[in-house]
Amino acid sequence: MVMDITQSKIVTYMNRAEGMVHIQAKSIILAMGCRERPRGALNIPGFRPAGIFSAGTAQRLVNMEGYMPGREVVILGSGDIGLIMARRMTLEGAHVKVVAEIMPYSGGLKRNIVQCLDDFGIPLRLSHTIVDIRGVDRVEGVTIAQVDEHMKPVPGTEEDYDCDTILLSVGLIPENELSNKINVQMNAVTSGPVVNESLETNVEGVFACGNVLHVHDLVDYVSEEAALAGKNAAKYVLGKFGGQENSAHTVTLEAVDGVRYTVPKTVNVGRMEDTVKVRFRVGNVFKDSYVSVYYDDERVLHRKKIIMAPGEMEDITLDRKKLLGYPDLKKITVKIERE
Amino acid sequence: MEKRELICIGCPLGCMITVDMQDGKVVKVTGNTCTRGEKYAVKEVTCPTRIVTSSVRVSGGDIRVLSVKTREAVPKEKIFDCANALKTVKVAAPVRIGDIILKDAAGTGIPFVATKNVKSPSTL
Amino acid sequence: MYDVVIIGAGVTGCCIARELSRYQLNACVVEKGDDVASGTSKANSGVIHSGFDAKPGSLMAKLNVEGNALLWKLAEELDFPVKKNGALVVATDEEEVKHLELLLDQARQNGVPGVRILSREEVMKMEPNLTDKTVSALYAPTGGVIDPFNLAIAMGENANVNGVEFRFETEVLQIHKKGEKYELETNHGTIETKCVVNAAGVYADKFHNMVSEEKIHITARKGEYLLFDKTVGDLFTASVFPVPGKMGKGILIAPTVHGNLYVGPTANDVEDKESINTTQDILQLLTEKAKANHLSKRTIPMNKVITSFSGLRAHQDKHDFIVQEVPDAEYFFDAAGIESPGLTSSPAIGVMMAKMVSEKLDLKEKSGFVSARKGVLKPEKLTDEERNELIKKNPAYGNIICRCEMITEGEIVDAIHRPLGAKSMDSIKRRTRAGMGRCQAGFCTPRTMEILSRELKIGMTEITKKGGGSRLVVGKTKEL
Repeated sequence: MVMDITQSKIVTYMNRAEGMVHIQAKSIILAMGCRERPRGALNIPGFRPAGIFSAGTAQRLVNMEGYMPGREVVILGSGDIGLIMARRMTLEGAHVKVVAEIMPYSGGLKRNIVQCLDDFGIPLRLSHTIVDIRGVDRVEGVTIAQVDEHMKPVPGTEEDYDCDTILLSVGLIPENELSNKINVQMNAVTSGPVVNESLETNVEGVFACGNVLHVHDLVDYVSEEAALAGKNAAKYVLGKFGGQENSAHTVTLEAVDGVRYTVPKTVNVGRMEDTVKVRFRVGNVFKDSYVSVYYDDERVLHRKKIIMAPGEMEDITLDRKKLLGYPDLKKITVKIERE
Repeated sequence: MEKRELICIGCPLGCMITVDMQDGKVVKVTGNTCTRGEKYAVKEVTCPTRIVTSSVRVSGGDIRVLSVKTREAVPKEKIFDCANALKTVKVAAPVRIGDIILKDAAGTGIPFVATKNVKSPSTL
Repeated sequence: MYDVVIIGAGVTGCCIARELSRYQLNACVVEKGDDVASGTSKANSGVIHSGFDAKPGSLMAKLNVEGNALLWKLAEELDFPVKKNGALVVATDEEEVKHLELLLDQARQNGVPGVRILSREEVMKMEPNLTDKTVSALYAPTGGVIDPFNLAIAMGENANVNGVEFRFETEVLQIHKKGEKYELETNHGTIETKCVVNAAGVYADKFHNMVSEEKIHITARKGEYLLFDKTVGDLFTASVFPVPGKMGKGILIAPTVHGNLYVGPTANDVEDKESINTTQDILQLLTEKAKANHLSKRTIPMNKVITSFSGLRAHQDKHDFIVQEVPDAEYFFDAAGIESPGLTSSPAIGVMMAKMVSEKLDLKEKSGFVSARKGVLKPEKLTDEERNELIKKNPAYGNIICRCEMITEGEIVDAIHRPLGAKSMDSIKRRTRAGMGRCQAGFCTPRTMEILSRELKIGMTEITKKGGGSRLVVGKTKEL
């Protein structure tokens, strides 16, 4: 495991066989992934008994260790791992009583709602959260309540469920502790590094990809991103990266009006490949709306989408040839428009 | 006339689809936005199927639990039978992705196959 | 028959046990939890109080100042983490400035060394993140922070090494005086002893009142906390207190000895002495306090909260420690009402109690008392060369189990096999910090369970979070 990295790209790792080892790298690719948000981060009140697991921990226990975390389950959060664990636990003989989701929409894929919950008659309670956990030694029950538009529990809407297990599927946080050690510039929305078209961070020769960069919905996109980061790191090491001389052509991407962020954040037109995929997420459920892209003030893309939801990633593709036709371009804006 | 309501899984839109049926046959599909929705709805009310994913214990390998799935989708009402059919199954390492773990999952005629490689000490 | 049975393996019971273990005696600590420090001692501020806050002339004041002096030496002798970061009471208006004068006077009466009032300039230089409204502050250089578990663990281990027996998951149900001895009825049979030391925290009144007509009353006063990630732990260097109010020393925003930041504790009296739950209203209040954060100019990012917890203070009606032989119950000793600054005072309570008990029983000091103890080896404190040497000898030290706190398998195995070794997840957490970081054991739980299972030769289904019925998994898959 990597223990430390420095700005001069000395990587310190440790394992059983070699002990502590320092290596001087020419380039570093950050691919540390993400961790699950724990109960504490949500400030869920109540006791702290055994039987409260993040969905991923439960997943590891069931799928890799072969142990059942519990029999009567309440799940908080409708992230995909939680939904999949609802089905998994049910098929192993557990009783999943309810899935409570604080948002008015699910954070998971529609397919998972149907095939992991509806197939087994597991209710999904939107705009609901856990307001109390009972049980001193082991979980004995929870209270869930409806929340208002400020996500505050509404008094009088409490419902009690007896259960011995609570699974939390309430979000993922990129693990950027190492990135912070070398002052990689971070995006407050993604909690991941700010990167350019080559997935390079502000620290030269340091690249990022996967869930450490931004949390993905599908692993396929992670693989694509990883390949790109690897390729660019190799180019960098070989001195073929094409450097700062083209930085005059750098265009900044701006995410507004429903678009929460973009990865990458800047595009060096001189260095980019023929096309660059720009991935983003929307901040709400949008129906019959348009993804619009503006080159400065000119709208160059206006693509209708029947539905966009925060749980699913969207993307647009930037074309190098087209961008070369805009030598004075400063800013590319990505936004959601109603019409 | 019988009415069946379901949510389409084709995309995040999640259309509420209503299927009118007569004598087990689909008469009309409404509520869908696209043709994928219609296809899904017809399949879902006439012969709904699912791939079942689960795990079995493995002995003598570098891991203790092996992930498996039905090679093809099985009838939806057989999901539990298929999962339960694995309760008595134990496999020995080595195992390769695609190896048949259980020949016939609960009389569906469809096998459970391994989705992971397991090495045994001799192949380590 | 024992010479002495101590009820409660909290920090008070452990300190008493350790000081008594200097003598030739047959002693036992009975504890209803599965580990030392599993009640009030595990959930508190971890502040080493200098002693300016206690009422002059009280036992609290005396033992606080004595305990503070003892702690710094003990930390070296018994190898547990402390930091002398100093304490500040910050006044933000003239009314509060007057109160500082009162505290200064109290500090002098209590014999607290070095306490003085700092001007705005002085204190802002010391703590640049303090609010601009700061007028002045009381500074106590002997204030500090401590890992609350590891004081109790160190004392308990050392007592154990020196011959004191510990019986865990043993709850005293009734106490009878039978002639010259006491009989303690427990859930695991009857224990006989010449002498009882009652260090039962919030339950000290229950045991006292079983043997005495002069009743005492302990109220469980709940304190809830928010704990923040280490990345915001540098807000203040000192423990920063607001000017105190009626219900205690007020809500602090302070660093822990390990570099986290916490906000708390609140103070609410509760009926149920098992109610260590956090509550929606109070967590909301703490969140608002942290956001408003009137003593700091920097806002605390609320997304850096990693957990919340609560603990119960053993508040005695007269708000002073009771350390005594119960007047109408010979050979029965109380260490009761040990609320803040109980943690700081505990070493002094131990010394005081050991003196009383040894005189009563006419105990002789033993030769060969082992006064030193080594804590769980922390590889992070070694040089790379030393660390590599260690990993070569024991590769488990090269295997990180808890990523957040960078805790190795070697440390966890050490925690399991040392005296009073860890048997549950929480007891490993308290000894090593594995699972105490920002992911709150999400990543390391299955791995730590495996190590426990392997080292203690018990099945995964036997592993508990904190003993008793707190099992983590209920069975194997395919068997439910």
